Amino acid sequence: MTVELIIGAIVVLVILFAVLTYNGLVGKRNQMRNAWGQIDVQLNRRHDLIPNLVNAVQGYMNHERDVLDRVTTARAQAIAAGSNVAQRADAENQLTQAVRSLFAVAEAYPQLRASENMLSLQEELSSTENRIAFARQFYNDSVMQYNTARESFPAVIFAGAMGFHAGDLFTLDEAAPERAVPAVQFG
Amino acid sequence: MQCSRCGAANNTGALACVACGQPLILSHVGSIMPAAVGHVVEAAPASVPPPSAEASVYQPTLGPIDRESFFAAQRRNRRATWRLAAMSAVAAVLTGIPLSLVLTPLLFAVVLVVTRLLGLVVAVPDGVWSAYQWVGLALKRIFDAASDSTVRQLPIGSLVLAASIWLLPGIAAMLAMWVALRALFARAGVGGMLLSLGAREPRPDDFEERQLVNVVEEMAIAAGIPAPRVMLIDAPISNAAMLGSSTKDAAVIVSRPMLDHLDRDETQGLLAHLVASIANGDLDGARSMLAVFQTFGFAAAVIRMPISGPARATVGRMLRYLFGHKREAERLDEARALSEMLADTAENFDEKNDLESLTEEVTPPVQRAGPKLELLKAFPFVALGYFIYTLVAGWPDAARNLGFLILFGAAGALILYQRVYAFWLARRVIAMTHAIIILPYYLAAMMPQILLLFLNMLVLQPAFGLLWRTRRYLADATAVQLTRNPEGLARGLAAQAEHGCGVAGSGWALPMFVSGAANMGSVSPEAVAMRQQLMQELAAEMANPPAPGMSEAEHRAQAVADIRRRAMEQMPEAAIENPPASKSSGFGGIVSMHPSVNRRLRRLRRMGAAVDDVDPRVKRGHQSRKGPASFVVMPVVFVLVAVLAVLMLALLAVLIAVSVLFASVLMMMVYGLFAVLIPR
Repeated sequence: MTVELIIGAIVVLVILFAVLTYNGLVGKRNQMRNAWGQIDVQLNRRHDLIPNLVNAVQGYMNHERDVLDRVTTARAQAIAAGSNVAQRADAENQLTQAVRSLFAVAEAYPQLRASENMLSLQEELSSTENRIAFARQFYNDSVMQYNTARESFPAVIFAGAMGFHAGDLFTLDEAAPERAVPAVQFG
Repeated sequence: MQCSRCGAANNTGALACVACGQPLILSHVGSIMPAAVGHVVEAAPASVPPPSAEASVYQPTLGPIDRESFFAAQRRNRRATWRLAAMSAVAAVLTGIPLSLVLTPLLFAVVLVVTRLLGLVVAVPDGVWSAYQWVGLALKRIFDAASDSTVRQLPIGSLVLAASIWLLPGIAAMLAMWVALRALFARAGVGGMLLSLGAREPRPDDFEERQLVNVVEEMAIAAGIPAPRVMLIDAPISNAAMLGSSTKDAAVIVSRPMLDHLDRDETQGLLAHLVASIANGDLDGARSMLAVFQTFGFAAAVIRMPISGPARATVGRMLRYLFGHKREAERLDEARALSEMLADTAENFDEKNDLESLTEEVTPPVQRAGPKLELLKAFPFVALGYFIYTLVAGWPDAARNLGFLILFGAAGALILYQRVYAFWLARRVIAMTHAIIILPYYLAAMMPQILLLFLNMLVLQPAFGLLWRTRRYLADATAVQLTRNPEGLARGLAAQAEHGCGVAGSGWALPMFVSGAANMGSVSPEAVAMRQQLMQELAAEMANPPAPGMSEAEHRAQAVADIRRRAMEQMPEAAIENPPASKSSGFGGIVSMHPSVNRRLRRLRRMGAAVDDVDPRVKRGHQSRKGPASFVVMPVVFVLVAVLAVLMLALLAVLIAVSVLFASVLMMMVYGLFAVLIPR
């Protein structure tokens, strides 16, 4: 009788523990997926801001057509890429580069640099870049938490069997232009 | 910021070089106009002497040896939080003891009467009565046993059991009240009253405010929570706070001048601390903490209800809130006000009670009513004279009675005319009766009140202070996780230590601020007016055309720097030297709710920041004095603190013992009264 009670208690504890671990994993996996979605939201925000930027600057820098065109085409390509991850990542990276070079060129126009409108646009765009970076950071932190929980004992025994596959960290390709440090010239 | 004359490193936002006094007007304008100011600084005179040797920049040792990852810091602080949370739970349970002193005897009396009434209908077993007697007369048995030489061992065990039965109702009631109040004011959240200090939405056309909103939204993305609402107040202080009840309805409130002192990284660090704190669930923690003080205040109000007008008003307002029907928005305001009021009740024991007001009431309120009433004293003589006269004159009975009626009517009219005076007499009689009835209760309620006060000061506030400080370190570590930039937060905190101060009437919202700078003070209306005046001057200056060769942005930067310098020169004194607006000190017990800036900076340095300690003695230009060497002072302080802690624990034990004794006497009285008045 006592032995049966003890065995029963152990079984109940094991089931309870398994349920808690399972729910914990589900929560962490959903947070990870949500974090992935957040990156997309921020990328779209950047797409919405770019027409404003182009409108604000084109009056001042008409003879820098090619820089403006690069920004516009990169945006169009990023939107066209849709949910194709590889193409999209490439297009977004090109957009980042194009916007950076636009701001670099804008440095040469004092009136443009001093204009309130330009300042606030610059703030909005750098904030958007930050948001994208922070969304990626949150995604990577979530992946790390999920993977740690998944690979810890005892979850590691059943996690794979129950369909909890390892999450992928968001890493930048070695050759990606984002990794290149922009050259800064003092003069 | 490097000084352009001597090259010494200065805090961002400093107005003059610490080494040579060279004004650094343009240094912190970079936060507003990064691009425009850049080349003004470049255009500094070429004859700059090389940096002197002693003005060396602080160099931290960066490396795996002394560097702590923010994940490790978070784990460490989470563990500490659990230890302290358990301690706080014990503290909250302890507060149930004073309540028991009043609650248990009343409950006992009710139970006795109900059982007696039940006994009229059904048979109550004798075991129940002997159990009641055992509970009621535990102390008497101890005394009997002590005086009886045949008893070898005192029944201490049964006294302990009886004591736990006496103290249980109060503890259970306290816990139930805590849960109820926590749920009741859940929507009011913590710090909601800060919104009543003239908070406004950020202006989209103000660059700095727009940037603030961006920073907060970025941090919310990094923390994976919905972005908190951003509110601003135009008080001439520099601080930021969080408020709300959960991550879903959180808000951050920032004072506008803080944005002027700090650059984007510093603002980001401080706001990251608040967002991290919200994401860590500190709003909920603060709510639980405040609910303990509210339970406390409510218990104190209930205990004092029979003897204190303000306590009755508090409980009445609470009941009206519970059962009254109001519009939703009004209810939220009322909940915020009530939440603040209940917490205040926990520490205001000096309010006027009925016994004190009696001494005021027994003096006649209207002296001028007195002399006219003197006429009444003549009434017996007039009546007697009239009676003798009618007898002598041989008036018939009917005529004589009519005359009496007229006389009595006149006297009645006089009394009615003097109704103020008459009412005063009646009130005096009622008040005296009231005093006689409440005096025993007044004495009985003294003890729980003193106990509550001691528990509040010596147990609750220190426990919550330590707990909350650990949460601050945790939020700092999480802020580093969010920003990956310990430097920004560290510089922001250092700047706050120089400029930061409290908000008038913050009271119970005090712990919600990002930093409890050493010079936490409050702000006078004069200081608010001064800021408004300076802002008007700025607008007037901006209306003038810029000097030749100066761009619009440079002109603005110059004007802002000028106004800011004047503000810094004039305001701090006005802001600091005025008494606080709120009568409550809030959480300001013997342990501060915020760790010192230097302790926080030390931990941030371990995570990679490179900001030197701020000197707490350098405040607003006062010269620093060298204190005694810390290795002499520290052991002494440590021993003193240890002795104090032991003394406090001893005092606590004595308080509990006294309350047990007190409760036992009350229980004996109740049982004795019952045995005499309603015998079985």
